[in-house]
Amino acid sequence: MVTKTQRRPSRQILKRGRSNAARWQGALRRNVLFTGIFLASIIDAAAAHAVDDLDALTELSMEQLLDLRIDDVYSASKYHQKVTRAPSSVTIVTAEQIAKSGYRSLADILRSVGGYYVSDDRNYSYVGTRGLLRPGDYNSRTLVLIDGHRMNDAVYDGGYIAREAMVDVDLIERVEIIRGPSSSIYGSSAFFGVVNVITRHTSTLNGTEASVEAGSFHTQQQALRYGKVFDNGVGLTLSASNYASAGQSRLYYPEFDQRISDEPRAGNNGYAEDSDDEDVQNLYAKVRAGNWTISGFSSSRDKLVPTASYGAPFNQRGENTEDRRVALNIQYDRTLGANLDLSARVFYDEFSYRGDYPFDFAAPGEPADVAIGKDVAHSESVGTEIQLKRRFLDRHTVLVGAEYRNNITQDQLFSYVDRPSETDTDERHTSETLGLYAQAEVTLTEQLLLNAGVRYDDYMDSFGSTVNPRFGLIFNPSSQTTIKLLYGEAFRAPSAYERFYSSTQSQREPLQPETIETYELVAAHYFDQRYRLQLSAYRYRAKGLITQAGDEDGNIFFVNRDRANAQGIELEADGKYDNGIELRISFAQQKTRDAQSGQELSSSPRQLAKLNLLLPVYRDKLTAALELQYQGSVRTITGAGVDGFAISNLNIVRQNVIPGLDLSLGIQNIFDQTYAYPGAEEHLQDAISQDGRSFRIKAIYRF
Amino acid sequence: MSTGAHGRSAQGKLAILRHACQRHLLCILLLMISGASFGESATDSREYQIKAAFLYNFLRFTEWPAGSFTEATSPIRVGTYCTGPFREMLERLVANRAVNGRKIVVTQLAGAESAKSMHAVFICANGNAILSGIESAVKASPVLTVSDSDRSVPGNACIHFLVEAGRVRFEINMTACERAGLRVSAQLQKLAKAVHRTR
Repeated sequence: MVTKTQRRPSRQILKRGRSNAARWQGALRRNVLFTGIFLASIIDAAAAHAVDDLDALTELSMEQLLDLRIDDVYSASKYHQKVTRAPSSVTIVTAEQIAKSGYRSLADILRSVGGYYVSDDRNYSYVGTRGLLRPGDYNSRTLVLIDGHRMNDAVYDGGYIAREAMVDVDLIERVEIIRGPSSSIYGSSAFFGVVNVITRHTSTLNGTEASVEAGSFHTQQQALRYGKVFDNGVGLTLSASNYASAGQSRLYYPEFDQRISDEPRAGNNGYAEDSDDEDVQNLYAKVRAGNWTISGFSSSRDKLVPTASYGAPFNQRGENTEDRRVALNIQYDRTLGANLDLSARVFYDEFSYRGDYPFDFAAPGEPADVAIGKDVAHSESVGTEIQLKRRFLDRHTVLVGAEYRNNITQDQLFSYVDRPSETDTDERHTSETLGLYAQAEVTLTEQLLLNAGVRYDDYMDSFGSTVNPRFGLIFNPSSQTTIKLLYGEAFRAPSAYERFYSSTQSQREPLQPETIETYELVAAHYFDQRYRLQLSAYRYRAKGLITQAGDEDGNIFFVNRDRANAQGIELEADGKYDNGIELRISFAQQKTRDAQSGQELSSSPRQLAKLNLLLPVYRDKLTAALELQYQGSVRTITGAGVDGFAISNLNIVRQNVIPGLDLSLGIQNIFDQTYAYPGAEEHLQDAISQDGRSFRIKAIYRF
Repeated sequence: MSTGAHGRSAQGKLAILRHACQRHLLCILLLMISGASFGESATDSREYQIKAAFLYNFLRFTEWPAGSFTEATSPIRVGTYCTGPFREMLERLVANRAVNGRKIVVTQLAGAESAKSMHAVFICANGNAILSGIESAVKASPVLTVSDSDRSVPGNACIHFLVEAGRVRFEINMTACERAGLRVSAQLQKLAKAVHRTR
């Protein structure tokens, strides 16, 4: 993963210019006006048929009831609540959408969500939201959860979204995407958003599922899943999978083409051959008995790195990473009274990463003198969380909780094999954190709801304590319409990597947490209970962003330096029509800037547009899913540009070929569009090109 | 422990934290050993609102054997076995509604035996422990039994809820319905995800 920052030459620091505040104010005014008009029109529409929610349900036919989505969200408040009452902008992606759309990883799922985008450097995947994707950030500013278990590791605070450490997509019941800060309930990393992956209920699995798939780039996956609820009520889920991909056999990087590049490492006409290999194994188990749920997840992933990052020799197949993960949870849920719920859990987490980074120490023109840099990170954490939820007078809900975490190992090692040096890293640490939180949902009037939450976090081994509030004023003029006014603050604690990896870090100012302050307006309207339209307008201000810096001696370290602002609007609409067609569309217009320079941030597209169409071609036997994704052009970290692109994907599912057997065919990037994502500091490539058209066939058999 | 490079009376805080942690663990342990009951909550969620609406429809599409009601306007008695506010919600939902001129009365079941005097019972997922008790108590009585989604073995309830792909579905066990002398309409059978028979 990240590494040897001390050893590589730093890139030029972005040239800073003057701010252009006036243009921004103009854009903001236009956005506000647009939002106002939009809101006025939907409030008007909603007032026409304001009916009580429950009453509306009894008016529906059973066919319509079967079509209703359970628009419930858990992750916004750590208890089930209607999406329309949640103090956030929320999107939910269900198992059905995942299966029909043929998504291969959580990264694919997030790409389909309004305002989200994902970049990939052919080793790790990076999630961007609302125009914010920091280079060198292993998603430390997005909290990734599996069934509520924090997946951001305890060294880099990375939240991994592709195959680095994530359950198979076929094991996902739903993904809840909570936009905006949620530190008031989750603490660190819930900075730009929270992604909670909820695994399938045992009862929906109900039997055995075997799946095999094969695709382009010699990709194959086998998986076996089993779920059963026994007569005594005990539920058991088991899942195992194996994924292997040879990846692209030849990847062309012009920066390494010796015919056109001065790079000393260039060769083989710029082709990295057979260096894109990826192998992943996942295991998952869950037992549920009475009030207890015990679950365990383990994953192992090995990847060859074709990009010759961190100065590695090109096309040598020597650079590789391995990520291992174990997550265990024992949870106890109990209703203590008619209106009092208890939830308590203990957890264990292990993260283990090793990277091989070859480096040629020979001077130009001399025989190669390659040594392998061994980069190792290992963390183990144990902790517990307890929470009580109480409803008062059937109108108000109060949640209080405490979370304690002990990172019993936070080790980072770096050295070159057989070449000990004073600059080798050998940092072994531990740390403890305590979080206390409370949230109240107060029904002020029938139509007006106040949601207020605050969390206190103590990082006693590091910067001390921080307090982060979140407020939401939620107006429901009718059961179909919701308007949310949201304010939130969040933080991200400096990671162990940022605090200790660089040998000169201890001579610097102690790192403080990054902070963000956000304002957001969300308006959502349900038509006929089946179509939804949602509009968000937001303004983010982030301060003290931890940024890599260097001094004259070539030492690289981290400082709380950057300030960034983001603002924009998002429009999302979805619905299911009587003929079975399902449509999801989203559009995001966003603008970010570095507060000091006034320049747009890197990896920050101004526009994102998405369309997902699920088409029942022949009854419920044959479904086609069409997906279009547009991402606007972005700046790279050197200030150059990467073109925008539009990608189209198609997935066709034939259900019950014989009873229990589903076959599907997926085509990614149908029109073979050439596109690239920006590279980061460790890459010579300013932009890293992505896969062209690819195919996948998949069979799932249930018995 | 951290080397406390930027230490701030680390030892003192550590002690406080340790105590806090010990207290929490103790608290959790106490709560955990203080008796088994039913977990799961959120029976006022959207999922259960929709299930309540289905229950109302099940009452409309079920025919009880002659003699199940003392009078033509006798109410339909529905018992629920749920923790959380599900009963209140169902009550509110059916408050002003009647099925064939009969009002609907919702009560919370105290135990398996009280199910016998009902026309329909709904056992929430968190009441699974009592499900088989209720099923044997109402055996052959004209009671429409409905079990919840968290049990993949349909058991012996006449109707069983499922949640699939974020939507509520149901299955019908015809053997159980017929044993209770109930006639479930063809429309209900048509909309069920599965209609099956047990031994």
